[in-house]
Parts: sequence; C-alpha cells; structure tokens
Amino acid sequence: MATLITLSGPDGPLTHVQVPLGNRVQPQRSLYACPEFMLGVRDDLPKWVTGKLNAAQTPQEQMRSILHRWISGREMVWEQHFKDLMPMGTEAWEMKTADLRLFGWMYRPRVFIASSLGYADDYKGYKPKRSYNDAVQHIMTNRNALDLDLPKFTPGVYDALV
Amino acid sequence: MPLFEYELDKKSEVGSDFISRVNEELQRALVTEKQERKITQQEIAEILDVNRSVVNRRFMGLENLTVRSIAETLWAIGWEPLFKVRKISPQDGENEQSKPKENSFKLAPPPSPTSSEKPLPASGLGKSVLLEQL
Repeated sequence: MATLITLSGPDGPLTHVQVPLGNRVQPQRSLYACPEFMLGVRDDLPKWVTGKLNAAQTPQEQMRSILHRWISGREMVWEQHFKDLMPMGTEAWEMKTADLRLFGWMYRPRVFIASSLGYADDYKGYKPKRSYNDAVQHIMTNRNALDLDLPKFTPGVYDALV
Repeated sequence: MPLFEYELDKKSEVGSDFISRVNEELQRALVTEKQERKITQQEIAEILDVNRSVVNRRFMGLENLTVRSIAETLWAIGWEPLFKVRKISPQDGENEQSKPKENSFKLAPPPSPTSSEKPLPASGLGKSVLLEQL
C-alpha cells in the first residue's frame, strides 16, 4: 500500500492535475487522475467539439472550467437546481459539464481521483454508446487495482466530502 | 507522470473563465431568490416573453449571454448586475504553486467557440450580482 504522494511520484500511476488559478486564488481541493483519464485528456479531449447541448464553451474550455471550480474550492452544487458533482452509487462520483463526464471517486474529503473521461453525448439517447453502469464498474475496477493506502475511498454525502 | 498542468491559450482562458463566472453568479442569484420565494423558470420566461427553454439554457450556463440578456434575466428575478473592469497589474500573475514544473505538460489550444445568442429588450433594478472578473 502506498500514499497518494507516492503514487503520484515520478514513477507512480497517478497524475496530480492542476490548473492555473489566477491572482489571489489558492487551491482548496485537489484532483488526481488515473492513466485512463489522462489518456482521455491527451488523446480524446482535443478532438471533441461541442455536442447536442450546443454549449457556449468548447469541451476543452469546459474542462478548464470544472477543474478550476473544483480546485479553487467554489460551489459545485447549488441546492437541488444545479449539480455539477453527482454521486453514482458504490461511492463513485461524476463531475459534469455540458459535454464532459469526469468519473471518479473521493479518496478523502476534497480529494477527487478521476478514473476516466467521457463525452456526455455518448451516454445519452435511446441507445447510448456507453452506459453509466459500465462507468461505475470501471471506477471500481480502477479503484481496486490501485495500490492506495486504505481506505481507498471516503463514503459520505456532498456536504461532508466537498 | 507526477504533474499535469491543464492550460489553454490565454485568450480562451479569459473568455471561458468570464463565461463561467457569469453563469455561476446567475445560478447563485436564482437559487438565493428561490430560497426566499417560489419562482419557476416558466414565470421567468413569461416575464421575459421567451420560451422556458431559453431561460433554462441561460441558467444552466449553456449560452454565451449578451450583456442585455444578463441584465434582463437578472431583472426578471429581481436582481441586477454590477460591472467593473480594471487594468491587469504586473502582480496579477499565477500562483507559484500552479506554475508548471519541468516534468509537466500542456494541452494544445482548443478550437474557438461558435455559440451566440439573440439579444432581447429592456432591464430593471433589484438585488445585484457582481460580474467582475477576479
């Protein structure tokens, strides 16, 4: 078993993801990523264009926006009305933008480990290309495979974890 | 791979960040107002004389809102925008902690956004939200 710091070290499987926060803003939360998520960021994300919702921001800008919100500690959920961070069951969580799905789990409060990256339109429609159930299974597989110090995830609700 | 700095070109960053800020302020205003009184998106749509889906897209942050539509949407819920600008000072750099390290890498610049929104008439006074890029 290894610490998050060790696993995100030079030869570790995890990547510590950061985003320029700007003047007078300090990081309040952190995000680490599994290799599959990083593959999605490097290979898939640059090719994606705005999907069915025709959002004003490109998927690449949406990624910056959601990372900035998470890391800078701003609200991810406004009561019942606007939720950009949702539980998926089995202690898996999903960060959402118009076109992106960041699947992962809470290692500790305010520490999100991103497991994989999805394109939102792939999960929509009568016959979606990908399913949320598969995404959850994938999170659990990645979580179990990671040689993290126990407990590998923190259970709880939004207010306790964020 | 110890560190990844997700960075876009500066022009995309400032534009996208301001859109996000405005969207968050609109959502905060609506949620705050909903806590005080029962107000539906349908009622807001009727006040603005637009379809409910237009109101929904505005509050969901899907639209590249015009200055006019920001003012009108806030007016419809009894709020108003406050707008300030300032010169970027030399001290307004990034945090040391968020600067890329030697072994980090960056993403290539994204394609430009294309979405736009049709402007609408009139505005009013009430509570306010600050639309200042911090």
